[in-house]
Amino acid sequence: MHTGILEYRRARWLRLSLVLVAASIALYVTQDPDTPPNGGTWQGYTLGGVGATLIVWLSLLGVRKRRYRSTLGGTVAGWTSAHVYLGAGLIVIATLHSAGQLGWNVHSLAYVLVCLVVVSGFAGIYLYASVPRKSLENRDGRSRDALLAELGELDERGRQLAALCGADIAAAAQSAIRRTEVGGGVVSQLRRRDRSTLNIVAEGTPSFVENRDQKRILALIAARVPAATRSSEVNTLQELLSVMGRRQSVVRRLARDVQLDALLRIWLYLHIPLTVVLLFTLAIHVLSTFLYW
Amino acid sequence: MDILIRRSEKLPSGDVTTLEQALENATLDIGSALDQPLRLADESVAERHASITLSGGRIQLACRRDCSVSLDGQPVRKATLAPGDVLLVGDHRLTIVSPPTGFDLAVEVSREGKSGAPPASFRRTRLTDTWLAPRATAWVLSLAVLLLALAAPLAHHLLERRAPVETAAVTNGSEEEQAIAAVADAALNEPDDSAGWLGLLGDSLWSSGPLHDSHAALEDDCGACHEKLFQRVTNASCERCHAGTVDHVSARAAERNAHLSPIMNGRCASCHREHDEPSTLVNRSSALCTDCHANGALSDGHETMAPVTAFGTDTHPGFDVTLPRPPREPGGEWTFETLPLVGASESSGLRFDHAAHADGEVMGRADGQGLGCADCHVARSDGEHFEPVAFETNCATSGCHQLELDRNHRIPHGMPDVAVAAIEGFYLREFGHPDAERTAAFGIDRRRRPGRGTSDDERFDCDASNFDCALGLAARKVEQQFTRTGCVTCHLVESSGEPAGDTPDSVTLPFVVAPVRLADDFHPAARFDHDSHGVLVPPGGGRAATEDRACLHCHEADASTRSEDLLMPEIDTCTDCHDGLSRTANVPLGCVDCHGYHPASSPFRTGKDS
Repeated sequence: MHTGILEYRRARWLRLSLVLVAASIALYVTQDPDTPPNGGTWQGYTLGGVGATLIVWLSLLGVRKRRYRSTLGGTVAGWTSAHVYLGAGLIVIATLHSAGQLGWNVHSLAYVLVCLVVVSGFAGIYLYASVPRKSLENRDGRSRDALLAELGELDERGRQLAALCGADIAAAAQSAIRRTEVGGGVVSQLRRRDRSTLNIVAEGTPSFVENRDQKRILALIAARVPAATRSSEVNTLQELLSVMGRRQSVVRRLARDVQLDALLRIWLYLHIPLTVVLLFTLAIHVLSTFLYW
Repeated sequence: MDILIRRSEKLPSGDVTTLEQALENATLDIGSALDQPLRLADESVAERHASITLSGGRIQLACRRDCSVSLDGQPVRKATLAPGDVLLVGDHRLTIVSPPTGFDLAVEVSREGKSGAPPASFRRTRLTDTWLAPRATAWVLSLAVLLLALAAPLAHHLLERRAPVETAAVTNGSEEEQAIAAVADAALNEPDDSAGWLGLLGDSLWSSGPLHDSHAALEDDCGACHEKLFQRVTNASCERCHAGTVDHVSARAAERNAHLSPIMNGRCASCHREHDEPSTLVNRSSALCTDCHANGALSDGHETMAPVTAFGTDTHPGFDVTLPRPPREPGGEWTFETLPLVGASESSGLRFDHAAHADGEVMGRADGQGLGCADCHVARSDGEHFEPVAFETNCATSGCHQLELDRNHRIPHGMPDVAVAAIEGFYLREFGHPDAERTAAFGIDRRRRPGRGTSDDERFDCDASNFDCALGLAARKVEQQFTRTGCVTCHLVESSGEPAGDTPDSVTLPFVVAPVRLADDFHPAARFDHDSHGVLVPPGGGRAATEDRACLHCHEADASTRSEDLLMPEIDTCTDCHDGLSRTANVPLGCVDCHGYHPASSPFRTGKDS
């Protein structure tokens, strides 16, 4: 469903964008060969005007998609398809307008911002095309809230079972449940960093040890099963092991879901703010051109 | 079967509402689609997710392909249900309850998940929970851009105090003085840096590219050219330094050329564009010229120009030539006449045979060679013009034309009366001695003239006093010089109509030597680089002509015997190699390769007599 925007109406916007790019190149090469091509010839001004119009229109997608049910200019799917292809074409038009003349000035800043925004958009297309399927597979069709609810139930069951075990296992299991961490900062979310810990009592001193992927708590419980003397204790430990095992699976899915969700959105944190900066820079670029005509 | 669906919804207020719905159907289909009897508005529920049937009193659950529900924490696809079982479908909790009387199946539906708060260690599971703040980032960066790229340059421009500029303050004096004064003016009007902290950041962020090297000093001084906001760079800005630059022939006389295009009446910046990379500064496009000059019968009210579309056969008119013309009356000024090159002839006041000087036999030089071009024509450093040919430096050198009377005495050149006096003095000295013989023994005239084998001197008998004999001999010598051989060999000599006469104070000459002036620049409105034409390769390749052969390719001096011969090549000599814009076996030329837009006006440029 997310790649539908690329094939929208047999890629009509791809074809339009290619025509626009071809026309821009044709316009560019008509510039007087006796002077270096630049943004100040009539062809350069035309390319700049087309580029600026595109930038403003492309950024209007942010407004349009918030009015999803509007019928203005077609569906949001159509807008997004046009956004993708015309945005890709913009990078060519902006390059032709700049004619490769870059320096430490506001004009080149606008160009670099265009490039950053468009390239981050490319990243977005790739992520939108690849991540949602993985995300759906990972959650097995359920929502994150459902996973969290399931985890909540398992946590509760785990705590109850742990309370029936020996004091050390009870403390370890309950701290492992309490100290399971998913998500965190930007890097932790993106890299699926697992900072889970648990509390064990070693030689009378409590200490925190890492419990990455819940492996340590599972190993701890499993190690206790053969040492159990009463059959009821064995049953309880085995049931706890089963609950903690299912818990591990749910935590893995949640951690992966957090990572995929972050991946799906991280590019927007570049794309959107830089678009806003670009709009201001573009205005200054145009204004300063005529201030110092 | 009769089915009862009881929906519980938790309101934001915390109250719980319950809605009961009865329906009769063979199965209870569950899904997110609108037509599903038990519709769950949940993105993680498929459109058709599962169905519940009643068969033989047993409640059977069957999920569709790729779907599952959670039963007691375990995902299942098929199950037999009993009252009290709880199914998790997406976010929804479906509880099978004992059906009330009249119903076969009863299901309680409630929204699950949202109510149960996630564990504290799950607080940050979305990017929105992190330090990332897209809005703040956008506004902070935008504000920074506004400050640095708009406010600072604008403040710099507005606060910069520039001393009022008096354009071309020196209105008297030579162009050179004016130009120097203008440069000094510009240097004195350095911008004042009291522009405030914001202004100190400068306006270089508005620059769209570096300036040409010649303007590098203005790199940080945008206001030098961009004086007012929203105003294109004016000519006045340029003229603060370039006060001496003369515009195109037509541009200045605005009232006469009001009909011409704005470019002609002109902005300097139309042709001189800055901030480009690579910097060209001068737009060399021929179109800038041919936009007007391609039109037929272009006239400035005085002269009519033939149309020019490019340099080549039939696209550029034949050459004109500008020649010095002798004054109409003695002592008058030389004038310059511009006329079509074809059929024109020189009137330099000299007689000269280029062919003879180039002929080794005639010259009779020891090496048997004639004179080479560069023996007389020495190129100046501009590569176009030549050092003037002068008697002293060119003719009298190498002992060719020394104007000898004897080994120690020579006739001075260039001043006929002084020459006459010198000749008289020479003979008076020879004959003034009391013992001098009355009959002069000749052989005293040993002037060597190439091409003349014998002396013109004849025996001279005299019975008068030594003084009279000497004068008589001198008079004969003078007459010979001015009418037969000597001065008259190279100069045009006419009778002055006055008798020869001497007083101690003055010498009266019966002859007038025509004034001499050699053309220095045949094409003052055009440029030519002799250096780059020193090696001529035929179009398409072949043996190159170098040195004198390169000169003679265009200037047919080896076939010229008269000084009236104009040795300047016609346009077809040029179009042999420069014909149109083709780059195949051709060297294309643009207008400004030969012509300058600004008439020669630079105090540093010489040799243009226009």
